[in-house]
Amino acid sequence: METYRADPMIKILGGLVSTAYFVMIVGTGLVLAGAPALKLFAADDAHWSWGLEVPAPVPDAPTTVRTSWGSAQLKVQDVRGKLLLPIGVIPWPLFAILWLHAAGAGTLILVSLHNLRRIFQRVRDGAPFDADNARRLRTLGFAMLGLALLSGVAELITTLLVKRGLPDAGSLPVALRVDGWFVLAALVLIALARIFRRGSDLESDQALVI
Amino acid sequence: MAILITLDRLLERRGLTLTELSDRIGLTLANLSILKTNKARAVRFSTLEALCRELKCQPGDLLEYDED
Repeated sequence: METYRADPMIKILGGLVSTAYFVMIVGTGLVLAGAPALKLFAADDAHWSWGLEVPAPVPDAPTTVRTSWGSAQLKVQDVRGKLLLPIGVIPWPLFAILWLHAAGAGTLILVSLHNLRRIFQRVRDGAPFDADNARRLRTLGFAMLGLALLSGVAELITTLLVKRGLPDAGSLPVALRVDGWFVLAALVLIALARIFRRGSDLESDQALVI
Repeated sequence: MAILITLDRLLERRGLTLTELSDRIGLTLANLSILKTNKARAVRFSTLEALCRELKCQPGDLLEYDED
């Protein structure tokens, strides 16, 4: 039987994932520890701001535009903006929501990267159909689902709170937005986990064929 | 498993140890132990051929069916 040699692409991708994992640990730690510290001790410094992704108000009625092929309707939709609020002026309830969102999202991303690192390590070692890899893929899938839901709920609550603070925000759309592509990718991972589980069982059986 | 591999008996008859057999047929000691202790799920024909060649026996001499 041929000795297994890891695909160079697996090594490169595994290295990238490991790098992203360690950068994310540092980044998450800095944001979670730094933001409350800035709010408490540097509230007057307008240099530090927190960017809030919010949907932007758009005209309801479509606009008629002229094209070289004739008239067409231009409907502006799904416009998003980033509200840069100085940390010192953010009310504490809103700051708490933002911090919890960052903590939750950071945790889910770290869990995902950790599991992805381990998957690449096992593939590099020549054992992709590991029962643990199946479990890791499932965890990845559920982490992505969690991220999609968390982001949607956090944005909904944030937008509601921001609307109170913006006098001209009457037409700011408020809705629960969940990224469908994220959900689809999560479901693909969960399905793949089942396939890998089956692969692991087949490989165990194969190991006992002498 | 109802199919048993009677490797012990044949090794004794030939005066071979498991290690010597492993060296002769190119199977690891671990795999031979799996065979000997009847933990294998299946045996390849190539393995059966190598065993019969070194132990100078027929496939039927190696395999036994035990209902219990």
